[in-house]
Amino acid sequence: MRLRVIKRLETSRKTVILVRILSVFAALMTASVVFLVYGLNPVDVYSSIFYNAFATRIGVTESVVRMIPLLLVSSGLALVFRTGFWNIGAEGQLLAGAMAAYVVAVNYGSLPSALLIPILFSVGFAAGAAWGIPPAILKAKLNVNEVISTLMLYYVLYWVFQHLIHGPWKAKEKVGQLTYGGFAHTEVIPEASHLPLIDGTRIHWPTLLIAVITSVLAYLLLTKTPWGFEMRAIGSNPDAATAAGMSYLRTVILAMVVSGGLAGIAGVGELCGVQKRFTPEFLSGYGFSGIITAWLGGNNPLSLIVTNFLYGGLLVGGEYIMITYRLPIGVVDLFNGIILFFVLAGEFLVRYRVVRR
Amino acid sequence: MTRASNGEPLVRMEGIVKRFPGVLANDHVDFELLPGEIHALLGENGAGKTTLMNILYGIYQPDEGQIFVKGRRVRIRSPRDAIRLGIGMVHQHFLLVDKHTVAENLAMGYAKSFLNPLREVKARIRDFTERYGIQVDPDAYIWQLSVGEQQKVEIVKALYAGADILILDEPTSVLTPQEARDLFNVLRRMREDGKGIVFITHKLSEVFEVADRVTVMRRGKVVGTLRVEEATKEALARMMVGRDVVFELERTPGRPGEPVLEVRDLTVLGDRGREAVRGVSFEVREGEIFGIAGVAGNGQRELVQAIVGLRRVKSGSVRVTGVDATNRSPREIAELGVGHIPEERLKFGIVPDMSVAENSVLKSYYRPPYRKGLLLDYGEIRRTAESLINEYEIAVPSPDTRARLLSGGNMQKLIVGREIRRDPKLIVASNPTFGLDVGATEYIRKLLLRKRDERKAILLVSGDLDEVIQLSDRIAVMFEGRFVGIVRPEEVTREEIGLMMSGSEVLP
Amino acid sequence: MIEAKLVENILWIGLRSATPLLLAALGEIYAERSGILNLGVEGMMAVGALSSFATALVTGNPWLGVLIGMLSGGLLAMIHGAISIGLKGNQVVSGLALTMFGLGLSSVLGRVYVGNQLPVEARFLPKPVEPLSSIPVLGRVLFDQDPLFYISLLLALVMWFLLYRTKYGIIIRSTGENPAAVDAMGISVNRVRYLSTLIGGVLAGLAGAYLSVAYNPAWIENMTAGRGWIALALVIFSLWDPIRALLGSYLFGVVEASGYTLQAYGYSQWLLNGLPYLLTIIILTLGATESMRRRMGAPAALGRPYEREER
Repeated sequence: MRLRVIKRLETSRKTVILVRILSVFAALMTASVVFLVYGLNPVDVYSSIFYNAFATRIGVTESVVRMIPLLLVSSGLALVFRTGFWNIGAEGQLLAGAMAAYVVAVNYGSLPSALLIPILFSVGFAAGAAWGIPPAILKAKLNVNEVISTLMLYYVLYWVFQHLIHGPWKAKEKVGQLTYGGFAHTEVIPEASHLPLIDGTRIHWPTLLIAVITSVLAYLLLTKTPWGFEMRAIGSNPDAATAAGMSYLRTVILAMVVSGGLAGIAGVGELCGVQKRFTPEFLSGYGFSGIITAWLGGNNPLSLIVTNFLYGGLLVGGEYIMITYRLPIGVVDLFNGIILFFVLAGEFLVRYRVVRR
Repeated sequence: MTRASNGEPLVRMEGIVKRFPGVLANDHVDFELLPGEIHALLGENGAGKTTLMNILYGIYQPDEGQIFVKGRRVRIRSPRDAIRLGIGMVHQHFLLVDKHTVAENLAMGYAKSFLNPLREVKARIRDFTERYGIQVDPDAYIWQLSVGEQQKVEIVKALYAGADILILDEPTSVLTPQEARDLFNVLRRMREDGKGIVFITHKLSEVFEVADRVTVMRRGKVVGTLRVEEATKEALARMMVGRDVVFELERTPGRPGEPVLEVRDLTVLGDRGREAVRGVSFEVREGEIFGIAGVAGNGQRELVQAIVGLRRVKSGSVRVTGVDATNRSPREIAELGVGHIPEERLKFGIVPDMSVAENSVLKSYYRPPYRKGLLLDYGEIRRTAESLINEYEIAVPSPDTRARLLSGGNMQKLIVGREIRRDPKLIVASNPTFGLDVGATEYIRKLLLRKRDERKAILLVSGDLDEVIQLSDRIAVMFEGRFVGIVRPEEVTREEIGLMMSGSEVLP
Repeated sequence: MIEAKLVENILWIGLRSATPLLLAALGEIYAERSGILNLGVEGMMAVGALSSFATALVTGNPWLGVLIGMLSGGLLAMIHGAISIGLKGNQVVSGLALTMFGLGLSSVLGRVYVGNQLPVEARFLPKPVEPLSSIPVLGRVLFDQDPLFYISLLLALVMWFLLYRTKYGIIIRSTGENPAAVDAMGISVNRVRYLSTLIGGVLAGLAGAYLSVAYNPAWIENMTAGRGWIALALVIFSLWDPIRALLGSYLFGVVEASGYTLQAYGYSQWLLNGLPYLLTIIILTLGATESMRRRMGAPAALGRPYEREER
C-alpha cells in the first residue's frame, strides 16, 4: 500500500476548525511531557493555566492587557500578509512608535492629557508607519526580500534604542536611595501622558478601544473597500493585479502604513499605558508573537480579537504556573513552539488530502 | 524511408487512465514506441498528449494501466526512475537553472566525478556536437542563451543521461522555421542511432515532415495510430478534431476607419536589457483586426506590454485615440479605452483566489457603480458577474466560486467578457485561444470578428499563424524586434508568411 | 606600544566572538542555498549550547560535548525540515516556532545547570601554536586560539570548495534556484533540502557548543543572546558565500569586540552593535540591481516549498 498526497481545491470551514482544535489538543498532550519531567500532573497544570487566565477577575483583565498590543500588531499584519508581504519587523515598528511617543511626552508633558494623548497616538502611528515604509519601497522598486529587510531594520532601531537609554535618555535622578547600579532606564514620562486605566485593573482602555475598533476597521478595509480589494488581489496574484492596473507600490505601502502604524500605537500603549518609562527590557516580543497570532487567526482581523485574547490568556496562565510551580522562564516559549509546530503540521491536512492507492 | 522497426517496442503503455479534479485527462490510452522511429503524438491542446508523456516520465502517476519499457513491466515513480530506464524528456517550459552555466546544468545530474565535474562534462558536450550536430557553448550562462539554444541544452541533457527514448513536447513552438529544420536534422541522426523519439505536436505539417508514425489523441483518448505514408492531412485533421474541419471563418471585408492606435518608432528593452522591440511603427484602425505573426520571443510580448503600460518605452511613442499614451500607467491606458486580453491567462488575467464575481470587475472595481463612497457594492458586482456568466456562457456554479476552479475556456471567456464590458475602443489580444479546446477557440475567434464589425480596433498577437491569417485584415510579421513587413492575408501565401517569420523579406 | 596591545586584544576577542557567528552562518548558507529559510538558528544554537555543556560537564570530555551539541542542533533542524519540506508548511512561522521552542527547551532543561561552570579539563582553551604565535599582533590573534576556532576556519574553506567546485555543491545551489530543474534530472529535491537543513542545524549546534564549551564555559540562561539572528544577517551580508561569511564574521566580531574599548573614546558600543545590521541592509540594496542579482542575489526559490506541478 502506498500513500499519496493530493492538493485540495477547497477546504470546508468545518475541516479547518476541526483540524485546528485537534492540532492544539495534540500539542497540549505533547507538552505534558515537560510537566511530567518536572513531576507535575499535566491536568493540574492545564487547569491552573486555564483557571488563572480566564476564570479569575485578575486573570481576565491581565489577559486583556496582553491582548491589546497583540491585537493591534496582528490586525495590521493580517493586512500585509494578505497583501503577500512578509513584515516580520513589527517589533521594530512597535518600538519606533514608543520612542516617538516618549520624545513627545517628555517635551510636551505640560499639555493637558486630553490634548496630549491623541497626539501621542498619532505620533506613534506615524513613527511606526515610517519605520515600515522603507522595506515596502525596497521590495517594490528593487525586489529586496522583505523578510530580511524588515528584520534588519528592527535590529538597527533596537540598537539605537539601547544607545539612547544607556546614554542620552538615561535617567539623571536617583529613585529614593537606590542608585540602580548600572541599570539603565529613562525617566518616567510626565503624568499627563499616562493613559487612563479601567479602575482596579491595568487595562489602559484608550488603547483597548483603538485596538478593537481598528481590528473591525481593518476587516472592513480588507473585505469591503477598493483598497482591500487591491491588497487581496496583489496578495494572490501580483502579476494579474498589476496587469489590471493596480499599483503594487501604492498598495504595499498602504498596507505597511497600516501595519507599521498599528504596531506603533501598540508601542505607545505599552509605554504610556503599562511601563511608563524605558528599560532595556521594554520589549517583550509582542511584535513577533503578533506574527504568530495573525497566522493562527487566519489573517482575518475579526477572528483575531478572539485569537489574541486566548493567546494573551496563555501568556498570563503561563506566567502564573511559572511562578507557582517554579518553572523556568522558557516554559511559555517552549509551549508556544510546540503548539505552533502542531498547528503547522495540521495545516498540511487542511491543504492536502492523503489517499491510498 | 528505411528504418528498423523490428524487435520489441521500446515503450508500450496499456490502458492508461489519469484523472485530475474534474477532468479525465487520459482515458484508457494505449501507446507504443519502436526503436529507430520518430513517433508523432498529435492532438489539440488539452487532448491529453502531455499528460500521457508526463506519466511515462514519472511526473504523474497513472490511476490505472501498465507501462512496459523494453519488454519489462515497470513502475515509474519519478523522473529518476524514468532516467534510469533510458527515458529523456524536453519540456515546453525548460527546466534549467538560469544563473548557472550550461556545463553546471549538466553536471548536477550526470557528472561522475565528484571533484572538478565540469571538465568531464565539457568533453562529453563536444562529443554530442560531433555526433549529432548540436552546437552549444558549455561555458555560456543559461540566461544569455536564446530559447532555441536553451532547447538544445535540454536535448543534450537527455542524451547525456543515456536516453534512448526521447520525448519532445511541442519543440517547434519556440523555434524559427530554420531552427526547426536544424532540430529535425538532429532528430533524424538520433533515429539512425536506433533511438525512439516521441514528438508531441498539434501541427499537421510537422507530422509529415519528420515523423514515421503518428498517434492521434482527442479528449483524453487515442483515436488511432497510423503510418505517416498512409495518412492524409485531411484525415488526420478529422481525427484530431472529431469532425470535418472548416478552415475558414465567415468574414466580410473590413471597412477600416479612423486610426485608434498609433505606434511610432517604438523601442522597448527586454528582460535582459537588450532591445526587444526596435523601432516599430504601425497603426490599428477602427473596424480592423491588425495581426502580428511571428515565432514567440521575437519581441511581441514586449511590444504588447509597452502598449498597455506594463513595460517602459525607451523611445518612440504610443497614441490611443489621438492621446499620447507613452509610458502612462496601465490604468490610465485602460481608461483611454484599451482592453487587454493577456497571454498566460492564469498568470496575468486572473486572480485565482478571488471569486468569479471579483474577477469580473478586476479592472473597474474602483469606479461607480461598483464603488459607492468608501465601500464596494457587492450586490452590483455580483449582478455584473451574473450577466457575464449568461452572456458569455461561462460554466460556473455561482459567481462566488473561486476563479481557480474555472476551466481554461471559461476563464478566457470571463476575461474577454470583462474587457469587452468596459466598452474599449481598442482590444489588444495576446494568444487569445492558446490552450483552448475547439469550441472555446471558435467562440473567441467569432467574438473578435463580431467586435471588429462593431467598429472596434483589434490588435491580435498570436503564435498561431492560421489564427492570424484567418482573422486579420492586415498582418505584420515580427522578427528580432522588427516588422519584416506588413501584408494583407489575401495577397500572400501561408508559406510566404512562414518565410518572413524567419526574417527573410518577401515582397508580394 | 599600549595601542598595539589594545588592537591585538580587540582582534583576538573579535575573532573569538566571530567564531559562533561564522559556524551558524555557514550552516544557514547551505540551508538557504537549497531553498530553505530557517529562522530558527537562535533556537538550535541554544539547544546545542545546553546539550554540549551538559555532556561536557558530565563526561568531562569537551569533544563529546561538541558531538552531542551538533546532534541536537541537527535534530531540531529536522523538525523545521519535516514541516517546511515534508509538509510544505510556512517557513517563516516554522522558523520562529523553532526559535521559541529551542530557547524554551534550553531554559526548561537547563535550569538545573544554571550557574554551573565547566571544569578546566572539560573546556576548550586557547593554546598558542609556537613559534607562529610570537609574530607581533597577528601571532596571538591567529595562532593563540582554541581548536574550534581552527575548525571553523577550515570549515569555511571546505564548505566554499564543496559549494562551488563539486557536483554536490552544484546540486545544492541548483535546488535553491530552480528545484523543478533538479527534480527533472531525477534528483530528489526533498533529499537535498533535508540534508542541507540538517547541515544548517548541525553547525548551529556546533556554534552553540562553542559558546558554552569554549567561549564562556558556563551555563547561563539565554546565553545565545541574539547571536542566531546576527548569524542570519551575516548570511545575507555574505551574499550566501562561505568565504565572504568568514570575512564578514570577523568584521562583525571585531565591531562587537571594539565596542567596549571605543566607548572609552566616546563612541557608543550600542550604535556600533547596530552597524552590522545597517550594513546588511545596504549590501542587500546594492546587490538588488538587475545585473548583481543575476550573479549573487538571493537563491530564487528561497522560502518557497517545492511541489510538482499538478493541474
